[in-house]
Amino acid sequence: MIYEVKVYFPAGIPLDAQGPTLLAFERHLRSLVELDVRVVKDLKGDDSRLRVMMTPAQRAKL
Amino acid sequence: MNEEFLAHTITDSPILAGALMLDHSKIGWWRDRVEAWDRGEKIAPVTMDVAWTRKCQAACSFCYAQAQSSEGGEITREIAFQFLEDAAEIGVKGVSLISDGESSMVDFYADSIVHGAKLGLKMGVGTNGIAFDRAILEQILPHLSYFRVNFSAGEKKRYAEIMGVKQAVYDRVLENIRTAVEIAARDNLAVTINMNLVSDPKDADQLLPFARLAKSLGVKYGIIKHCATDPDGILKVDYADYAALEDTFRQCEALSDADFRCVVKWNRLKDEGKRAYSKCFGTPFVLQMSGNGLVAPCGPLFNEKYRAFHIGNITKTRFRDIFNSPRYWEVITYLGSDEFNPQERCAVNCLQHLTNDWLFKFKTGQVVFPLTPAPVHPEFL
Repeated sequence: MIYEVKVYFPAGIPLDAQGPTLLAFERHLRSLVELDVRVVKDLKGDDSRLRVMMTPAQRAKL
Repeated sequence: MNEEFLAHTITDSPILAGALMLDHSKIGWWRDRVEAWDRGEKIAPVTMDVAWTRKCQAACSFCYAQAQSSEGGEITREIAFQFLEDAAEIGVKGVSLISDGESSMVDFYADSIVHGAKLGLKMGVGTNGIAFDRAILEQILPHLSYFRVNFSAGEKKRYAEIMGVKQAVYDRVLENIRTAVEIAARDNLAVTINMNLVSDPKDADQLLPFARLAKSLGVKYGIIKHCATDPDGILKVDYADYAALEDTFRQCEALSDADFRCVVKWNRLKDEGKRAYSKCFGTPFVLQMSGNGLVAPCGPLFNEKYRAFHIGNITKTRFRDIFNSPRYWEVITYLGSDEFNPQERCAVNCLQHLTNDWLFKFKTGQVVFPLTPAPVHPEFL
């Protein structure tokens, strides 16, 4: 069984701090429990707006 | 998948296209670096796949970039050039401007290729081939090891559907490929011009038209490769469906002759893409960078969800400093540790897959360093 732990970061917490925190959390939790723990950020990256906005603009020039 | 199909996938029998190795990892020819890594030393990547932007004019149905969104910045000319200088200084050998975005959309694209080559880096590009003209091709081709055009169809109407562009783009890209072939032949350039089709089984009607088209254009080879899938199910391909295409793949390969090879990446298609190795050893040798500057071990971990494995961003920190940071080796070694099993955590067929496979076999005494001369372009694993 996979145990996906989601961590929510409120605005203002630097990205540079989030990554090491998530990895440290995962390593620590896995050391405490013998479970398939995976710590992920509770935000799925989505820059589809950027891609969608760009695509018509670029296509129009073709 | 039947035994006849699997017979194509014997990993100790490299399928060579001339002196080109296209369906295996070349990591075995980097003996010094592998031995250093085996001793636990921190090593520089041999190859880096990078992008200068996440933008793209096309909207290919199979594009993995759809799953790779993350927080990042804009890579400027200055940042890109610094990155190349740092990469060369650190010991990176080959830089591919490929995937995640269409790097040719930035105005410093050609200059960056020239700059990278002058630094001693081998430069390669994978592109949709749209934003080129003769002048750009004349400028970049002498400095490239390979020029690969992703052209995942053979017929104009289907090309437009699959690549998400107007039909007129088909003619433009074909003209650019013809021009590139002409320039390379005219000047006897070392650049390998080739075409690439990402095979989604539902678009199998385009396999043979693609192979015939590639041959007619005079490119060195045409590659037919798998479609990668992501763990979150954005890209949906059933690898079991590739078995039914075996005869068509064979027909494509049969178009090969002395001047042209059509190569199916059988090693990527076998076992439905499942991994035989339980540790990810490949990322210190093949590292990736997103078009927003994010440095991460691999493309499948680009997404913001996987921030735990994000190492740094060149729009904020120079690459040499990212590489020299404790964070770099912490992430890389975690992926190669007992705590991270790619069989369970990763989607099939990542960029590092065949390198991972070789390194795992090396660590477990199943392979030794090859004695034959290195194939062409060893800098691109």
